Amino acid sequence: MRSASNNISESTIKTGRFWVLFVSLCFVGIAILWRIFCIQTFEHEHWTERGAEFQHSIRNIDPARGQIQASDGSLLATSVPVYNLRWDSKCEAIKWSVYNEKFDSLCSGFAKILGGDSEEFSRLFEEAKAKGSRAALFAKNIPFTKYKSLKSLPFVREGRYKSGFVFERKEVRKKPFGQLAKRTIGIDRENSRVGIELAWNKELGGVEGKQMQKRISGGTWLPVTDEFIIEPQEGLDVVTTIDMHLQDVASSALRTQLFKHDAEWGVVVLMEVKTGYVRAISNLKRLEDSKGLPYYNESYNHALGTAVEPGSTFKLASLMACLESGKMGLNDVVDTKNGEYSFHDRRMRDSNWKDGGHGKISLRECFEMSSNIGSALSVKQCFSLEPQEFLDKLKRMGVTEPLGVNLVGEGIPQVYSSVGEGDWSGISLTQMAIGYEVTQTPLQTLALYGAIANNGKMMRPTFVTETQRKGVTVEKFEPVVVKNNICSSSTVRDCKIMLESACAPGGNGTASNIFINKPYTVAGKTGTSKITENGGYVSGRYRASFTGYFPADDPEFVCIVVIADTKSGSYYGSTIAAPVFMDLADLIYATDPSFHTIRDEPLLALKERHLPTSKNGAREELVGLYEILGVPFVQTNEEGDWVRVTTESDNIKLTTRIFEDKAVPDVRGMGLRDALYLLENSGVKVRYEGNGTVRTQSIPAGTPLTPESTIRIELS
Amino acid sequence: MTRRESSIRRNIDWITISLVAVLMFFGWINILSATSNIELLNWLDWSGKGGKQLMWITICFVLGFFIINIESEFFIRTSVIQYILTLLLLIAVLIIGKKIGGARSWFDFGGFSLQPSEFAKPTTALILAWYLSRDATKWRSIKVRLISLLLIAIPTGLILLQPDAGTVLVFSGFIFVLYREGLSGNVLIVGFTVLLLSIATILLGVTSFHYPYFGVKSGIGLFWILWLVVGALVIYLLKELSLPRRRKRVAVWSVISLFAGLMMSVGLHTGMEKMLKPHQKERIHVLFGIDVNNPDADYNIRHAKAAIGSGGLTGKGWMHGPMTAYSFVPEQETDFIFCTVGEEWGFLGSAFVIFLFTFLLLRILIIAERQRSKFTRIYAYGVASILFMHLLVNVGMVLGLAPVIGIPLPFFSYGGSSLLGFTFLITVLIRLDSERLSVLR
Repeated sequence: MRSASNNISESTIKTGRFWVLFVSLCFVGIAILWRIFCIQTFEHEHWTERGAEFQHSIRNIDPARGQIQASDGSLLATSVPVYNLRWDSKCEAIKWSVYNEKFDSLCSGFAKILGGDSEEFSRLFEEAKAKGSRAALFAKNIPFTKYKSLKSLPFVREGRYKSGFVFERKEVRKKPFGQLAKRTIGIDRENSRVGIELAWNKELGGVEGKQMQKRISGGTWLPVTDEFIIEPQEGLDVVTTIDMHLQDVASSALRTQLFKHDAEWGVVVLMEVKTGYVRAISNLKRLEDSKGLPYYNESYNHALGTAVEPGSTFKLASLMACLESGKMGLNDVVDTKNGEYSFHDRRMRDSNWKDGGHGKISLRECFEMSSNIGSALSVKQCFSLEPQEFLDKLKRMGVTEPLGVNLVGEGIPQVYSSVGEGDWSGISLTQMAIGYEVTQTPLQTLALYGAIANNGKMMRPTFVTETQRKGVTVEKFEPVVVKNNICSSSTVRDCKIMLESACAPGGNGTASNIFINKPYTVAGKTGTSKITENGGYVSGRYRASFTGYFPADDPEFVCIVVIADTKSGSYYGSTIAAPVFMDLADLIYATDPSFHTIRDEPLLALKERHLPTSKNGAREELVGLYEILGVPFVQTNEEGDWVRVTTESDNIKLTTRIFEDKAVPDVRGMGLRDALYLLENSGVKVRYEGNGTVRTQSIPAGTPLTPESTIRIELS
Repeated sequence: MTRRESSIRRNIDWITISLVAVLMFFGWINILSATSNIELLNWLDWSGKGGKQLMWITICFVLGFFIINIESEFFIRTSVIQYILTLLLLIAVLIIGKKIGGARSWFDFGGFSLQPSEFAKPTTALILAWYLSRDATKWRSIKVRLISLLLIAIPTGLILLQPDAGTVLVFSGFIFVLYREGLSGNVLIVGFTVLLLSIATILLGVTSFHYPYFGVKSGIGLFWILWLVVGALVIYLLKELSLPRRRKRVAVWSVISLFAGLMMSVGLHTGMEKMLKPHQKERIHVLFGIDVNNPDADYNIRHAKAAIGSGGLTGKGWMHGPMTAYSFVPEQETDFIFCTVGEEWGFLGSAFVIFLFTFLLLRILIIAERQRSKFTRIYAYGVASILFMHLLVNVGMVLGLAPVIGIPLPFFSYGGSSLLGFTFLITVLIRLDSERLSVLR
C-alpha cells in the first residue's frame, strides 16, 4: 500500500480498484453459471436418477401381529388400529373461511366425541396457531369408532389439506379382558416384551415385507405395483390353554382374598393334571392409587419367576424322600416331644408348642398336622448318616431343576446338589425337611403336586397348545413330560394318602375344616413360611400357601395358591390360601359336566308323553336331536334334506318337503337360520322382521325365481 | 413541484427498479410453486405463502415510494442514530429474542416476527458511508482504519453471538467497500491465501498416508512438511530476486507469513478434530465432497442438487417439478428457492436469475462510480457487497459450493423481514443516486 500508491494519483488507483472488483464480479458470475450449466446438462442424467431414488424407495411393510387366544378362542390379546390426531396450523390450503364459520361447532364436536369441554379445544387451536405448530397434538390413541365420527365433523371433513388435520394410524395391543392373566399373556413393547408376547414373539410377529414404493404429496408413500420384494406374512395366532371362566373365577377369588387380608401379592395357578395345561394363572400385586387406597393388578409373574422358600408344602418332597429310602413307612412313629426341639443351636417349634405339642405321632400324622419337628426328625432319622442320599432323592423328584416352561424368566430353584456346598451346615438337612434353605417357584411346587396326582409322571406346565393361521392349525404342541417317574408307585400311593388325610373333613389335618360338605374330595397341603429379607427372617411376615389336587380319587386339576405378606393378622395357609382353592374347585365342580353322571332313564317330560314341538328345518339335525333325547319319531320318507314337523300324541312325524327348482321355497314354519339358508341359496335377497318362526313370506312359495328379487319374511 | 424535485424525479434509476421488480415477481412465481400444488393453487389466498409474499411485495413498493420521496440529507444526518438504534436492537434480541433453530435472532410479536440483523445491513452501510465521507476522515490514519473496522465489527460480533453465521459472512463483504476506499490489496491476497490454505488443510486432514517408521497417519503432516520446504525455497527465490535494499524486509515478512500459515493450518486441523461436534464436521466434509458415513449428513445438498440437476436445460415447467411439489428440499421457499428455479425452469431459468443479479450488481457499481458524492459512492459499494455476498453464499450453498448456511436470496426468497430490508437498502441508494446532479459532497 505504501509502496506504489505514492507515485500514482489517487483517482487512478480507485478506478483501477473498480475494475478489479468489476472483473472479479463478472468472473464469479460466470463461474456460478458454469457450475449450474454442468449440473443441469452434463450431470443432468445422474441427478435425474438420484432424484428418482428419492421419490422411489424400498419400504418395509409391517405385518399384522397375531392374536393370543384363550382355549375357547376368546381374544386375550389382539392388535387394533388407533389414531393420533394432529393439526398442521400452517398447512397451505386450509380453508380458513370454513374454519372461522364452523369453529364453535367444531370445538363442541371434539368435546362431544373425545370428552372434555369445548373451550379446551378452542384453546388448543389458539395455541397451535400462536406457535405456528405444524403437528399440534389434539388427541392420542383414538379408537376406530371415534376416528370415524371425528372424520365426519365439519371442517375436519374437508380433508387432510383443506383442514390441516392429520390422523396418524398405528397399531396397539389390546387385551379385551383387561387384567385377566395379563402378565402371562404379556406385553408387546418394542424391545421389552414379556410373557407369551415375548416367548412367542417370532410366531406372533410374522415376516416383515419389503416393497418398492413412491413418495407422494405430504410425505406419504404408495406402492408402485402390487408386487412385493418380500411378501409380508401375518403373524400366527397363538392358542393358549387359558380357560376364560376359570381364569375369571381364579382372579376374582384371589383378589377378594388379597383385599380381605391386605396382602402384598398373591398367585393362583390351576393346571390340568394329565396334560400340564395351565387353565388359569393369576398374579396380583398390591398397588396404591393416588389417594393411597390399595388395588391389585397384574404386574409381575410371581408364579413363574419368584423362587422363594416354600415352607410346609415342601414337606411333601422331604417325606417322599423318607418313604423312598425305605427306612420309614407311613405308620412309623416319631417323638415330637412337647412341641419344642433343638437341632444343634437351632430351636424348632411346632405350631401347637404352647399347647404341649403333638407327642408321639406317625409319619402320616406328621404330614397331615404339618409337624415341623416330626418332619425334621423323620428326615434326620433316614438321612443323617448319608445326607447326600437325601439330595439325590430330591434331584430324582425333579425339584432341583427349572421345568423349562416356555416363557422367559423362570426362577431357578436353589437346592444343594452336594453336601457341604455353599451355606451347607449341620442344620441344613433338618431345615430343608421343612422347606427352608431351598427355593421353589409356585409353578415348580405345582408341578411336583401334579406329578403325585398323575401317578408319578411330572408334566411341564404349558401355556400354548397350538399356533393357527386364520383358524387353521399350523403347529400343535403336545403335552411335555418332565419326568416319567419321580418316585415308586408305592410312594405315590402313600403320598396320596398323606395329602388326602391332610384335607379330610373331620380329621386332624391342617385343612380339615375347609372342604366340609363338599360333593368332591380334595388332597393337598397347607404351607406357611416366614418371609426372608436381607438374609434374615422377618418376624410377623408370612407367605401362606395351599397346593392340592381334586377330585382326590381321580385327579383332574392341580392348583396352587400363594398369598404373601398379609397385614390382617392371620397368616395360616389354611385360612388365607385354601379358600381361594375352594372357590375354584366349587366352580369347576358345578360347571364341568365330566363330574356329573347323566341318568339313563328318559327325561320327566318324555315320561309324561308331552312331546316337544319344533320348527320345520333340516332333517339331519332334527333326527340327530331326537335320537339323543330319545323322542319317538317317524319319517314318511328318508329322502330330501328338509322336513316339515308335525307333533302328534305319541310321536313326531317328519314329512319330506320338496322344493321345486328355480321357484321360491316355502319357508313358513321354519326358524330364521334355515329360512335364510334356503332363500339365499335359491338366489333371492331376504329382509326379515321379528323373531321366532316364519309366519308369512312376501313372495308365495312356488313362484318362479327371478334374480335380484327381494323377499320379505315376518317371524313371530 | 420545484425544479429540483422534478430533476430528481427525472434522475431516478429505472433500470435498477425494473431489475428488482422482475426479481421480486419471478421470486413470487416460484414461491407459489414451492408452497402449493397445481390443484390447490389459489392466486389470491392471503393466508398462503404465495399470498403473504404478494402482500409483502406490495408493502415494499409502498415503502420504496416513501423512501424515494425522503430527502437524502435525512439518511445522512440520521445514520448515526440509526446505527445506534440497530445496535440496541441487536443487543435486545440477544436478551428477549425468540430462539428459532438454535439462534436467538428473532423478535416475536405474536404471529409476526422481525429479524433485526436484516436492518443492521443497511444501517452499517450508511454509517460506514457517513464516517468515511467526512472531510476530517483520512484513510491514511491508523485511527480511521481502526474505527472503520470497528463500525463493521461491532454489529458483526453481536450477530455472531446469536449465532447467525450467514449474516456474519455477509458482513465480511464490507471488506470490499474498504478495499475500494483504499484498504491494501494485500489484505485481500492474505484473505484468499487463508481460504486456500484452509481448504487444503481440511481436504488433507481426512487423507491417510504411509510414513516410513511411523506407519499410517493423516496426510496433513506431509502437507506441513511440504509447506515448510517449498516455502523456504520460495523465500530464498524471493530474497534473491528482490532489490537489495528491500531484501531484509521481504525475508522477514516471508518467514513470518510462512510460520503464520503453518500455525493457522495446525490450529484449524486440531480445532476441527477436537472442538467441532460430529455433525458440524460432517457438514464441512460434505461440502468438500468427502465421503461421510452418515447418509443424512448431506441430505439437503443431495436433494437440492437432484432438484436442480433433474431440471435439465429447459426445466420441467412451472408447477410441474415433483421434487418441489412434494417438498423434498427443505426450506425450498426460503433459502433453497433456487432449487425450484433450477428444477422447473431449467438452465435457462437459472441463468436468467444469475444474469439479473449480475446486471443488478454491475448496475450498482456503475451507479457508485458516477457519483460526485463520496457518501453515495461508499453506500453503493456497501449495497453491492451485501447483495454480492448473499448471492454468492446462497447460490453457492444450493450448488454445494458453500457450506449450508441459512441465508436468503435477495428479493427472491420468501420472508417479509428480508424483503423489507433489501427494499430499504436499494431504495435509499436510488434516492441518493437521483440527487447526484444536485449535490456535491
